[in-house]
Amino acid sequence: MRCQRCGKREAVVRVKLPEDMGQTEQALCEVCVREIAQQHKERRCPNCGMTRRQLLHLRKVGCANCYSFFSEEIESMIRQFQHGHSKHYGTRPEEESPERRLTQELSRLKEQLNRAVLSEEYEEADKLKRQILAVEEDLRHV
Amino acid sequence: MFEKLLESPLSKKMDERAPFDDIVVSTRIRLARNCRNYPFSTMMTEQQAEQLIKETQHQLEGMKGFSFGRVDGEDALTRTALVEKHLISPALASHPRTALFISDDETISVMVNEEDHFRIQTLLPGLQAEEAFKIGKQVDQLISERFPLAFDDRLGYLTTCPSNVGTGLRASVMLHLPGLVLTNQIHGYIKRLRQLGFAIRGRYGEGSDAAGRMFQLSNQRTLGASEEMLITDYLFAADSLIEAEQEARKGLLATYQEELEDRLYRSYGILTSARLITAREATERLSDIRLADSLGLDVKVSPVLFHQLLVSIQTGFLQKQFGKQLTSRERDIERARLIRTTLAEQKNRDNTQGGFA
Repeated sequence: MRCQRCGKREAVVRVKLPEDMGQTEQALCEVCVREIAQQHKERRCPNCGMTRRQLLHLRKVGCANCYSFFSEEIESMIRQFQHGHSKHYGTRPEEESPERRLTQELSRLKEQLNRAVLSEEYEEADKLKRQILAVEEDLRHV
Repeated sequence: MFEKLLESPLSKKMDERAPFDDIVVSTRIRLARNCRNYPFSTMMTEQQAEQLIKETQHQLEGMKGFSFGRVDGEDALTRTALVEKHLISPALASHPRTALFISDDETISVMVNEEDHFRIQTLLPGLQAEEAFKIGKQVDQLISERFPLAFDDRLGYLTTCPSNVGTGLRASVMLHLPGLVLTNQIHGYIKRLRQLGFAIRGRYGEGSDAAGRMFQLSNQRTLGASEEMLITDYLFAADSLIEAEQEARKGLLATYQEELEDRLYRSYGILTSARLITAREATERLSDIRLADSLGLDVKVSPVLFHQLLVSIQTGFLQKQFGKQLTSRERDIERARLIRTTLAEQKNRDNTQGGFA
């Protein structure tokens, strides 16, 4: 029997094709099987681990990074959901105030310093102390 | 902590008269927001969901005029009643690891770990989309100052479902449309509004079967226009429905006055006498008597009372008020009793105030 995909080589195996290729069972030659397998190596978002298949099946996104990693797939979904629109004209998030950011940074550093002192890591503690002074200096200027 | 929220079927704010409340029961504006440093709900682990709740609690708990509490720790009855009062979504009620941040007047809340990390929701009586958005935006600001949000310069706010991307804004109003249902025009309007990009569906049931003739109208597109523009377009759609409903009511009265009055007074008779009534029938009869009031018949059911009854006869709320699980038969008995006594009290009040006898 000839391969149902290329029609040239001898078929060696019957395989069920993946969802987006129609899910039919076909008799294929060795070359075509390898090609299909290559095409369907799962793409996976490096940040959250969502696969392309999950994305297309759920029609929902895994994380903020998916929007750039699967941009082609997601843009297509957006065109469908948003009646062809593709650009945001609305409000933007308020930036976190620098004061708030620095205050949080400060408390994080102080916590680390405390831990470093308790575990007698003096070199580390010294480094943290310098960082704390720098952040405190920045805080005075906002 | 949610016991206080369930003491009455409507929040104080919902107890007030509001624009177009003859037809529009309530307006809700929802903003979908996510953090960029957590996976979205689809890929989030239980630990991460727990951590987000802790962080939210740390950032928001104790804020004046608001309270914060876990939703997943509440029993099923409480969660159902919160859904019936529209304070949380059915999705939030069924997810594990969820929390709610809510203002004391219950107009604004933030659901944590719904489909998106944060769903900011404002609920006001009548048609008040612009006002609701303004209030929602204030809490949005509160959130954005405290959390690094997932935002893209070109696509706007990034959401779990691409159908919410951009503004993340969904407006929905609940409309009471007995005129359009009784004149069989509702299907035409549903079709037309869908073509224009709005979703409209029965609040209890579908299409013209919608018991109580309550419909929810919402925008589908969230991208490609500013929040203000989306709301303006949305209000045009809502206005077209309101006007059509007003016309339909007038038309009914002009053509079928006796038939209509007969039907509405019969419903009043049933509600004031029935000993057993299902939620479905009660909703439909209540819709009848609200229509009777709005047409000036001798039945007094204000928009507020109507809304209050619609919530308090729901399965969860009824049992919550009763303090225990009831069988379906017991619920029908208590529901009938609740409606009878409420309508009797209303009539007494009207009589002493020199209203209609």
